Amino acid sequence: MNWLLALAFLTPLTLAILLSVAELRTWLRPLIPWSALPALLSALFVPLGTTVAWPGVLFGVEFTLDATGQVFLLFTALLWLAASWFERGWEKGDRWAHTFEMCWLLAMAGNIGLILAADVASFYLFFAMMTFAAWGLVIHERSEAALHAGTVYIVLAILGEGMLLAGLLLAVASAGGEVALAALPAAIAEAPWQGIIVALLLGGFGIKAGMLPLHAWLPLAHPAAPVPASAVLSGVMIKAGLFGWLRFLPLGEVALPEASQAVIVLGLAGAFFGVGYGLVQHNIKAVLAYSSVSQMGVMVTILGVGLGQPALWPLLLPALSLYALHHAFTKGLLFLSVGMAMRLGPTRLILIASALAALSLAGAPLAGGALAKGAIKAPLPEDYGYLTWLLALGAAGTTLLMLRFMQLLRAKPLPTTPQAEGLWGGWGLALLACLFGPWLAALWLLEVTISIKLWAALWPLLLGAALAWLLLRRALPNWPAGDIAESCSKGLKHLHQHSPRPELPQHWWQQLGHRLQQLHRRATAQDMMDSLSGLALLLVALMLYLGLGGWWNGG
Amino acid sequence: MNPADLLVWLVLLPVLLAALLFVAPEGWRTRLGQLGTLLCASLALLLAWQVLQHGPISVALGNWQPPLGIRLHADGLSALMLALTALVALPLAAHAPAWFVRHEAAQSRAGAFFWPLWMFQWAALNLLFLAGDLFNAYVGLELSGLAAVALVALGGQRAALEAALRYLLLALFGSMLYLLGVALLYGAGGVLDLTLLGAQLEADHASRAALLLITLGLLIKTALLPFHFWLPAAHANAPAPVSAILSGLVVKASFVLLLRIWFEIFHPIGLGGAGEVLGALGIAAIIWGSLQAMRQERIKLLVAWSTVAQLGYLFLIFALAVELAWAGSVLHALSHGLAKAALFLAAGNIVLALGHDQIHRLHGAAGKLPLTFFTVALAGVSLMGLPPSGGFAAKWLMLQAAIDLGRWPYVVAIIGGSLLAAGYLFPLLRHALAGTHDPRQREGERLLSRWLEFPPLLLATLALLLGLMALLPMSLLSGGMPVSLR
Amino acid sequence: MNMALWFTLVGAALAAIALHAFFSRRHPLRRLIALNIMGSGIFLVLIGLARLYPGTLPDPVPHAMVLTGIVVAVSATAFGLVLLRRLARLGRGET
Repeated sequence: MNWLLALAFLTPLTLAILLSVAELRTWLRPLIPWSALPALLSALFVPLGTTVAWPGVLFGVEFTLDATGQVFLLFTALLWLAASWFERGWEKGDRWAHTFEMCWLLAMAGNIGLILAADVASFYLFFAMMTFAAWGLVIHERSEAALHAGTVYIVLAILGEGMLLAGLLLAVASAGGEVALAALPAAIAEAPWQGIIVALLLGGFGIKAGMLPLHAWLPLAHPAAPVPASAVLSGVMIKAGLFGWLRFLPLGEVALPEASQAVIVLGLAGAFFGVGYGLVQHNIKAVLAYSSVSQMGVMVTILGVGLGQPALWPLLLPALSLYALHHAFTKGLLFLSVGMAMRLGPTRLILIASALAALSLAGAPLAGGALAKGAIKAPLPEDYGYLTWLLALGAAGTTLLMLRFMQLLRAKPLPTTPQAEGLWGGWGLALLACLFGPWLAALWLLEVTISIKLWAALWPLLLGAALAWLLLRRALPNWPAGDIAESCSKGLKHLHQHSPRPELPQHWWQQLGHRLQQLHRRATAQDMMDSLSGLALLLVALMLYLGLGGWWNGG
Repeated sequence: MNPADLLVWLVLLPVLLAALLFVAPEGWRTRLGQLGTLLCASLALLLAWQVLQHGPISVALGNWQPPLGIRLHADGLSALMLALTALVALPLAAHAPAWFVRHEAAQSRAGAFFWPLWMFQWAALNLLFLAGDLFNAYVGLELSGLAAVALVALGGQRAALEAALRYLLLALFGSMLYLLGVALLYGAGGVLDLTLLGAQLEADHASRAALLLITLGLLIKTALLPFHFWLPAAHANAPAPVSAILSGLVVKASFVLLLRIWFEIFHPIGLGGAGEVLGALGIAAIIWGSLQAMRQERIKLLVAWSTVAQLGYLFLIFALAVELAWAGSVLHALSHGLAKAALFLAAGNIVLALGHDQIHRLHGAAGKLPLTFFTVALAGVSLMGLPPSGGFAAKWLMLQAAIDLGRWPYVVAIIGGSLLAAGYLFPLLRHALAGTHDPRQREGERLLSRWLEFPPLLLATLALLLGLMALLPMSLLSGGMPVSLR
Repeated sequence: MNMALWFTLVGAALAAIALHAFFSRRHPLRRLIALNIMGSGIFLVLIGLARLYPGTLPDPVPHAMVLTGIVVAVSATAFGLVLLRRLARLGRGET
């Protein structure tokens, strides 16, 4: 079955490369929806522990399928499959279609490959591939908003890549040069630079996972991207951040109390901030994006508990995986439903399906969401009792936010020519996955506690509904999506516009800046450089001479 | 052919071709040049293969042994640099004629002189890479410098001529320092052969002064900050194929020589803190070069400043003097050579197709020149050090070395340099990808011929493949590792 | 003081003067001349080095270096002059 595992990421990768040949495009484009199929088959049929190793590539790369990887591969591949079907019907053959398709496939290959990667280099390779290909998805519309979102996204993404590279290399160094992922958590647990490594990994993956306060790209990028791209961005690509944490952090190895507390606080902050700020959005996709921030906050909170309680980790890991799977399917379906409503108007079928997904996200009894929420609460010990309450309050918030979403969805205008040809297949697949996926996974794949407590699941729902009744009847303010990023970029623009004009220096610092600018202009004039270079020559010569002096004096 | 003869022919053949091309009728020069490129490149690749199979090859010309005779020596490092030159030369041979033909409308006979000068340059580079003694290297250095200046002057406009003149003065100045240093070294040891010098050199005032002079001379030629100021003007004003040669290959030649002198001659007797100075200058170059690249408004100047920044990485090896960093440094020289050649050719294409090189006027250009901007992105992947490119492999090795040694400023500089590179490359792509469809352009209409668009794409792909197959150059390198670093 | 040492000292002094001129002058022609003087100084040093120890025969290798250096300096100077003339013509508008 090794070949199937390799095909999982090679299929989209090869297809992306072949699509660059214009002559082949007509033949190959019908294959795009199927490119996630090998990955899905791998998740279902390849036995755990199967390994593919190519020692000649890069510094020797390896891919393997383990239990955690299997769950993530399953929902990642399924959502990509559904979204790719949807995408075929969605795109209208505009000018950038080829670029979009290539980015789509590269992001898919990256997302699948990073789940299967068994060594640091290939993990980083596929993670970066996904990150940068997703930029192409975000800016696809080429509108002012899309380009702005792309800029915020890429700045944060590059920052994240830098932090990751540093963190991963430090981890490798503390493992004595070992690059196998399996060896790293234990090595980090005993590393001398443990604090730095954990901080770098939390930050680097936190950007991808939309952890507060690194989430700013998310509410800008998701609304700006085309619908199918939003679905995979919000459904599965942000889970890559979570997956990175699961792969690298010393979870279950050692207790990190400070990191644990910080992560729990950030997670809870995200869970509530997402709800609060999501409510004042008028763009329906921004509402969903903030809901993702909130849901990722819940997952980050559980991760924080795991960081502090290594003994609990074997129970928390499957629960967290289930939660990730549930959120991926649900959020994927919600985004695709928005797309359906954009093309068809809010028909009854779409509204019912969206309502089911929204209920599931809020944790209504018997829905997949309730299952996931029950699973993550079950292992929490006594001293985390406050978390159970806060998570329930978060569920109330989610209910409120989802009602806001339904309100906006119902208000979607009827398009002049409703047509949804080619969209039903992908949407239907996502619907099935959302309804049955969590149950199937909980029953057959993951060892989680299935607890059905009717009242515990019901009261947050009722509270949320009551709040909605109070709040949603009045006109809500419209705050810009991207909260922090917007303030920052506005501030920067402001600074830029009001920067000291060269002719009007007033304060001493402005005069200093003016002088420095003048000096810089004069110093970089070529003639001046000729004379300065003599000085530079003497200086460098002196430094080298002094440096060499250590050699002779020291013997 | 005997492997030892390969070395001799690698120097002789381009010289002969250069002479032939100077006298050949102008109509024949392109075909003749392309044929010659094919021949020289096959020789170089064949030699690299031989070195990979059988280890280093040495030949004493006319059977005169050192210290009297001249020795040519091909180890892993030379083999890689020769192969790099060949791999850049091959796509260039396809691209350059097409570029000069398109460019010709405005310019005089620049294209006719490109071929002989480039062959001349190639011979000089090969000589530098193969030289077994310091004096032969001096000859190579001078020939390479003169040819490079002449190539810049092909640009023809005032800016190009001024840049060429400045380049000439500084190159001449640099080689004089180098010559004086070599003479002092000869006075101290009585030999010029690299291996013999390494074996018998003593640590005294004369050799200290010699190292100082040689290093300064070569720093000027390699354009390490603060001697970088001649580079942006020279590389940006030259014709695009010439820029690719200068940025991709010529600056690497003097670096390789410096690498050999430091690690084969002086490192065994210890260098004290002098390496730290070069390392610190390298960091400064990464930062300053990137910041300047971000401020540029013309695409070719941006690419040229990026060269200043990327050259900084090469000098980190002098501070991180260990095996891993050495391999990383050479790998970086290779990947930058390929990626920068690709980027300069692509930049030249953009200027040709759009008629301007203003970055802020690039809106929508990616829609008109999809292949060229794809090349820019691909080359950018390598320059930013993203996997799986050669740039990534190089930075990975250097980072490992820096972390092993606990040299945190270098860790920060290497990673920060990648972020800064993204800082000047992404705005370029963003400008090009923005904008709307130009209705005047018909679907599928090509602004540039395939001969212009595919060679840079090939170069960028090679830079990517270099990372995927990083073990191949590394196995070549392990044979040529300086003894002192093992 | 023997002749060789005298040559070396004079050469060093010449090179130092030219070094100053190379970096303090702006006009390319002056800088080109400075480079030539510096070259002469360096060649003198080399010739001095060849016979630093009195009584021995002069070493031919530095002489060979000097010869090569002179050839390079002459050709580079010629090239520089051509470039200068071209620039001067461009400046007068006779392209």
